[in-house]
Amino acid sequence: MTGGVDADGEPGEKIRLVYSAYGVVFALETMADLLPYLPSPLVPGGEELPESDASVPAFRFFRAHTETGELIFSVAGGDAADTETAPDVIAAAQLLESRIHRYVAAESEQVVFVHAGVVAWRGKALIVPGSSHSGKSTLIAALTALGATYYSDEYAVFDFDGRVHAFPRQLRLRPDISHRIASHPSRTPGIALVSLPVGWVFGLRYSPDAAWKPKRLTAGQMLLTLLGNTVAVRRQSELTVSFLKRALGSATGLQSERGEAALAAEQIVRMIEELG
Amino acid sequence: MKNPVARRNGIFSENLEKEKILYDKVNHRAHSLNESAALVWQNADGNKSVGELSELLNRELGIPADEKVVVLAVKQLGEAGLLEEFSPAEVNPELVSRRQLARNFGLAGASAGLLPFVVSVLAPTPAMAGSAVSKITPGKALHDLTTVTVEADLDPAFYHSRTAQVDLGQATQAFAKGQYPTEETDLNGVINALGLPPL
Repeated sequence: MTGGVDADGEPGEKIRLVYSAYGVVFALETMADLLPYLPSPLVPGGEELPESDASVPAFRFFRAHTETGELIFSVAGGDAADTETAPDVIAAAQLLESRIHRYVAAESEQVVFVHAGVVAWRGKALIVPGSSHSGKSTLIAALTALGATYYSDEYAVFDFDGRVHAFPRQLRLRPDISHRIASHPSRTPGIALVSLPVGWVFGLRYSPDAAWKPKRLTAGQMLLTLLGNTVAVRRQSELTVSFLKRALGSATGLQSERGEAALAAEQIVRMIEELG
Repeated sequence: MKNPVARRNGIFSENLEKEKILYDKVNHRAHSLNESAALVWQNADGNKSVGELSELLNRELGIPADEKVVVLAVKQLGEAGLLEEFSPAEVNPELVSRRQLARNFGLAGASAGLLPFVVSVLAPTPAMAGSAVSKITPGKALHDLTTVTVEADLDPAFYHSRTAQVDLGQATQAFAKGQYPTEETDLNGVINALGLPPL
């Protein structure tokens, strides 16, 4: 850590930290007093490295002021060339976290990141692939309420052996209340979540008038459902297909329209219990 | 119809138990071919006629030896960009309805599944697959709401605090102003799940 000024010229303790996650190394430059607003670890499954490598790509998170003098927070670096700003420090921290996660997901060659929600059910991973705003976070919350263990509402992380690793997004609590609230039972940071074999893949599409009509997916259709949500499939298609093929060896795939999350979660649980 | 020729340049394949996955590195599309579609693609070398391919399907998979089956495969493979040359005009759509063929051959259930079938998906860019929260979106607002309510689960006093109420108010306003229709995002579903009044 070094003394310095932030992007807007305000004095403070400027720091540069280097992290590694899934074989991707990156740096974060920020002010020391902004660090408590970021989750720890910054990337689930990642770690801070002791050395400071000046050559790695850096993300930046600083205060700034608009032309009219309003305080804002700026986020830059990674795969997006632009600088994003937010009027609220929590919102800016979310932007930074998402940006870093996207970067790691796109660059990692050790694992395959699929945009999906994941819970554990009876020792297997239940995966719901889907893009942003598809309602998968809601569905994952509803499944958790029925007893499933939360693994991720952002990415399913597949390793070489086809097992799925947890990628739990942590709550960002305001420092002024974090001393009162340690964690939430369904999203306990740091809890040991072992990697799992894939049990089920649900290709779901939300519709308010949906009728639950699950249809079995073939292995190939299941693989396509995952490929359509895989972050780095264009850059490393062979690796992706081989990892996912291994993962789906004994998985069951189903596809349906779904209605409200709570009802859909009950239908999913009933379905997998019936399938044994 | 000309002898079909499979496109292989820029494509790699992976075999599953009864299907073949093809990934097209040029067009960034992934395809799943069932057994009969895969057999036609594998043997479409420009030397085998449609008739010869239909006999091959009959011999290998027990599908009735009818050229219309191969024409159906050619149509699907061609539309997926998996043939070197494909002219949709050569294919009479009335002759190659999968459903009609199944009916003609008296195939149902798993047997009907033997008829050629190609499913394709566009491989996303990282940005397409990513979770963008740079603007006020339902996803972000939802996270805000969830955060507030999760905190409330653990500390009811906090839920009634000014901080929580401000957060909740902002998140609710974000929903109300969101450019995303609720039918695409199940926002009311989560609000119900969280025990909050509907928007």
